[in-house]
Amino acid sequence: MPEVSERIRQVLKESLKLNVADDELKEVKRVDDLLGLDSIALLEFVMGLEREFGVTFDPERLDSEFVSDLDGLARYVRERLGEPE
Amino acid sequence: MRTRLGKVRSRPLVSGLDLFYLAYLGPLRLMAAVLPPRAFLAVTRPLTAAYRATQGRRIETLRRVMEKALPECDSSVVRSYAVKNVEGFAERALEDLVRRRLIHSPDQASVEGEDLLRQALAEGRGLILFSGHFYGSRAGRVHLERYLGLRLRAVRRGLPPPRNVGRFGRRFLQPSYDRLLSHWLGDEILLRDRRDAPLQLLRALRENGIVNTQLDAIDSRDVWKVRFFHDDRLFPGGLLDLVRVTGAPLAQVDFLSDGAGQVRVRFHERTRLEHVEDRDEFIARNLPRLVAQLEATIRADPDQWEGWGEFDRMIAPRELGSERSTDA
Repeated sequence: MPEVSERIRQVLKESLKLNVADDELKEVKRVDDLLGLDSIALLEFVMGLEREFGVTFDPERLDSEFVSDLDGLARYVRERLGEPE
Repeated sequence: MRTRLGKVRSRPLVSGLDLFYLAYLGPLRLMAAVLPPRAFLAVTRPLTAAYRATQGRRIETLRRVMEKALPECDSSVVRSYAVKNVEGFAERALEDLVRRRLIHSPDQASVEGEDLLRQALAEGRGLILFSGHFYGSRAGRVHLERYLGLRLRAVRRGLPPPRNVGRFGRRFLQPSYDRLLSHWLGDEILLRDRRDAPLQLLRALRENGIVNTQLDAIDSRDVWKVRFFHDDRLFPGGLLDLVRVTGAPLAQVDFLSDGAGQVRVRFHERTRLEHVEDRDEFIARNLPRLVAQLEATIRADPDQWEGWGEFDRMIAPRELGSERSTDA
């Protein structure tokens, strides 16, 4: 089973239909690093994460700053899934 | 799909519109703050006629546009729509200054289809309402909140389009008007917060809230060509993106005013959409249906729609934007 942060990056790639190699994707720390992101893309990304991990984001977490930070997201998802850091 | 750049025009320091803004945000606003709302409206009533008298060219433009869109109507009827449309703008602007203090009685508005709205909300997924820019919208929203406890979150682009304002107006007066508008509309989601707006919308829907979007917002960057009043016009696809991604129910709402303080709010049945996987196909199949619904409402009350003034601008994106056709 791939690690949470890896799965998050895969969701990012699929939901935003990104044409990037997995190696390059590993380097992405923030969603803002990606060019050409339209306004609905973050929403697609969040919904994709919820489907992938079977969690629902807390309303106060629906914030572009929080959602853009991939490491922070991985910590949050792990916490929601009850997985250790 | 194609993109194009809008023209950049030089702007005078002060324009005629700036003077209107100045009078509105200065003396009129001051009067509105000190007078009881009804007294303010009574005292300023003659300003509607005065405003109409200054708007001969605008009335003529509206008449020409409406005549083309409504060829079945007699020209004298069309002219009366154009005059009422200009008066409606002035009446709404004056009412806005006392909107929150204006005590409407419950019988000053009729609400149709409240049961449809409650049914949609009972699903617990929030509700996306779409409407057009009608003069009765703000009065209708205040009424719904005050008497039915229904709070509609407005979705707004931000600053009004900069056309016809001078540099002074753009720098000082429009931002001041924008702050005033935010105060009147209360809980709103601004689309200029490009990253946060969709997430704020999702948050509102998750709280089983109601968001009120405008289908005729012409300043969107992603626009689609749709048949509207015998011609191809541009409409934003973002509303359907929101529906597609969140899965929230969608319904139309009309806010109509009779210009004498009476407002009619009509909630339509939930809009049935054709579900297809592909994003572009989803918009291409469903947007014409929404636009046709909006057109039907406008046809029934043409004098009420603010969009006539923008009608000729609905044929080309104003700024860098992408344009697609629903004919595919």
